[in-house]
Amino acid sequence: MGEGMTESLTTQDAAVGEIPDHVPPELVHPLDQWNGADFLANPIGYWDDIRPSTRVFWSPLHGGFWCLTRYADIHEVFQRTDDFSSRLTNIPGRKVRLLPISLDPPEHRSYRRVLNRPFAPPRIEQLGVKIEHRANELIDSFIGRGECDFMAEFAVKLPTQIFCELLGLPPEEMDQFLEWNNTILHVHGDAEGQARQTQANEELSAYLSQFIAGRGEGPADDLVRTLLAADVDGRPMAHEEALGMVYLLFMAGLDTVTAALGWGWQFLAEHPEHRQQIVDDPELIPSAIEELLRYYSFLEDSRTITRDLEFAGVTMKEGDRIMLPTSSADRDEEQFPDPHTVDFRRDPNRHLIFAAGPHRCLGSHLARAEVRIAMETWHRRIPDYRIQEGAQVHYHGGAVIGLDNLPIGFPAG
Amino acid sequence: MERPTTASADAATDPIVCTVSVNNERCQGHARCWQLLPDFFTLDDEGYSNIGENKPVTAEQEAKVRQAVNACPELAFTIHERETD
Repeated sequence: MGEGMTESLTTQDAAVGEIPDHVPPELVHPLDQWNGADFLANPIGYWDDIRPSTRVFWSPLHGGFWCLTRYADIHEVFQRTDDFSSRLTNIPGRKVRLLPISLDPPEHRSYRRVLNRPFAPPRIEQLGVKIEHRANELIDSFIGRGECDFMAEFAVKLPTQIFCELLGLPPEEMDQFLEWNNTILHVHGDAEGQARQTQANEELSAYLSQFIAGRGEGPADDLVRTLLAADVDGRPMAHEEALGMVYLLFMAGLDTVTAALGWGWQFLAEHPEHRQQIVDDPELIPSAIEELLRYYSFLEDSRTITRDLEFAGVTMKEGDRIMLPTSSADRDEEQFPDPHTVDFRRDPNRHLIFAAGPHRCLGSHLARAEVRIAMETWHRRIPDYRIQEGAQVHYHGGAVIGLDNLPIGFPAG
Repeated sequence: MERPTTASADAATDPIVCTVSVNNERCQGHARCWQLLPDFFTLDDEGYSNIGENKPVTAEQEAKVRQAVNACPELAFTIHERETD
């Protein structure tokens, strides 16, 4: 642990807990990935100074947790599901039971297989035309102005619209969905914030529960009916289980693509030479997206330790929480030569933003399709853009690190 | 054994240089292989690799196949080199 690493406690809401006996004092480093000013100043690059000297540390905040920094360790944890359980899906742990992300194998597999088909690449490909149509509609709404807030007017709306379409949710209620989503995922801290979170959770659960019940019985021609018609280990799926799955899709499907678009466009707005590469050669876009996902790997995953064990040179105890910042793994120079060079032709590029092991992001193919089609469509129409002069871009932390705003300007079309 | 389906791969004129196998215990459906070479790295309807064992690779396919094998975040593929004469 380097010098000066224990001075970053910046918020009062994340109380410092007692340090357990099995944690070496020199490995204590208070990280507040939700509200810490030092973290939010440079949320993805936060790890760059820590990783070379520090393989693992313990943050006493948010109930206390281990944090790994290196690719090989994080990759191994993702694959070792017996020792590193997914039963709590957040730091601090979230009470909602999300199916199947909060299950471990073999139970996980029974639910996962139900969701795999509708999210497999061939099925996602069929959504391409819809995604392009939605992207064009959004661009139409601001291209005449020559400026927009990319986050509010594009990055938030596109995945939400696609998600509504996928589930058959009424698009006119999109603003309400976004408000629930935002409260549950991004508000964290004081008692008032937690009360709002609980309320949003309850409202969303009640809404989705009613929505699922309303789908009733019928041919399995949409996602909800597919879930309701599915069997789990030889019995029909229960309403509560379908709710757990739809809830998860809701939590995982909106925010993440928004973040991917935000980080990608911020980089492209600031790097005209990279942007020109994809304008000149749109076939480079899939590979460019993988590289942007690697460099801005905005997912901070977590697991719970199931038995006392030695890992990354320390003793971990049953019940300890462990944070797996893919933003750190994916800039590890042991895995990625010259990690701070953004190379749209990087090969190989086995980044971990979609995790690895049985919990590999179910929506990864949908996410890739949305970002790819957005990038193709946008750059055909708006090849030249930049961040507005004097604009201050703000970030939020948590499990999904993203941009709050991205004001950009371009020649009006 | 399934033959490579790439239209341009003509086994008669393009010799087999190696074979590739998938370990289905490891494959988690990232589909990075499919993304790079969809005709060769086919998927089942849940999105997992179904290329099986010792799928022949022609000289023409070789570079792309190796690239796709290296792209797998689970390291689920093994390449078996052909003995050279």
